[in-house]
Amino acid sequence: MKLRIRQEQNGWVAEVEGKVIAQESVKLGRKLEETILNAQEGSPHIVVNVAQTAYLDSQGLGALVRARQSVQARGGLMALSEAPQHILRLLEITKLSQIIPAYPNDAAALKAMRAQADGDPSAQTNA
Amino acid sequence: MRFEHFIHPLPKSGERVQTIAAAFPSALQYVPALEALVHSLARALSFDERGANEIAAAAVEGAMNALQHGNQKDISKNIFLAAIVEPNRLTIKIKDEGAGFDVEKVEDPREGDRIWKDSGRGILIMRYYMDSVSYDPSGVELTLVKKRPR
Repeated sequence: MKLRIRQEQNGWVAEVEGKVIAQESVKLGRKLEETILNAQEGSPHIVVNVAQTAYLDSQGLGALVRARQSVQARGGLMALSEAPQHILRLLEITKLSQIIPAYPNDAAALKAMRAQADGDPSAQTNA
Repeated sequence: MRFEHFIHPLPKSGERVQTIAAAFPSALQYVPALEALVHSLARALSFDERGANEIAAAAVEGAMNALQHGNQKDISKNIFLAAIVEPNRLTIKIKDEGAGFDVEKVEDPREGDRIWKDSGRGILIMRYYMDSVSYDPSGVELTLVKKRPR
């Protein structure tokens, strides 16, 4: 797995490439947690870009759930972007699509999360 | 424990059955090797990249359950993998050295507040990726079956 995390105007984007299994899932969870805890702004938003993710194991999904909870505890939001069909299907069968929205791209995800944080409930939509 | 603890049906006359077996210590760092082995085998059997990924992902889920719940992360215990190649299907067996469990008692991770749990989705994912997922009555041996592409 390759993981690149960068800061954008409205939050953070974590690009996850390759297979996320076993130790890599633990690493993903740790890195997301570090990003959330170290974020200077009050309500950090995180986009996990999974365009190049071959697959996530259940530990990796668990890392996303933990990150979703951590970011929410700090008043932020988390979403996926550019999810290929196999990742979207995985979210559907596990019903995690109910708590982790997906958007077509990073900008759309950050914009929607910012709008939702500002009080627009219509902003949260699964792509 | 030895590989012959896996009980395979004998091949019928004229039917070619090949078995690959391997053992891995119960530690996270060995799971990618197991994944790579299963993925390579699936590709060699003409599964496409997505199909091979799905079979390997199912094997990873089985191995992770064996490692964490079966062997309780005890590195002195092994995870045994057997891949049985038949003309029409690939069977993956994963066995641990734990006390076993009752798969019927595993709660649906999609229901209620369990959606917020960070674990418990392995069996669900295996069932999605494979044609058949079953445990032996003692709950220590997992059998995953996928029909081979024609």
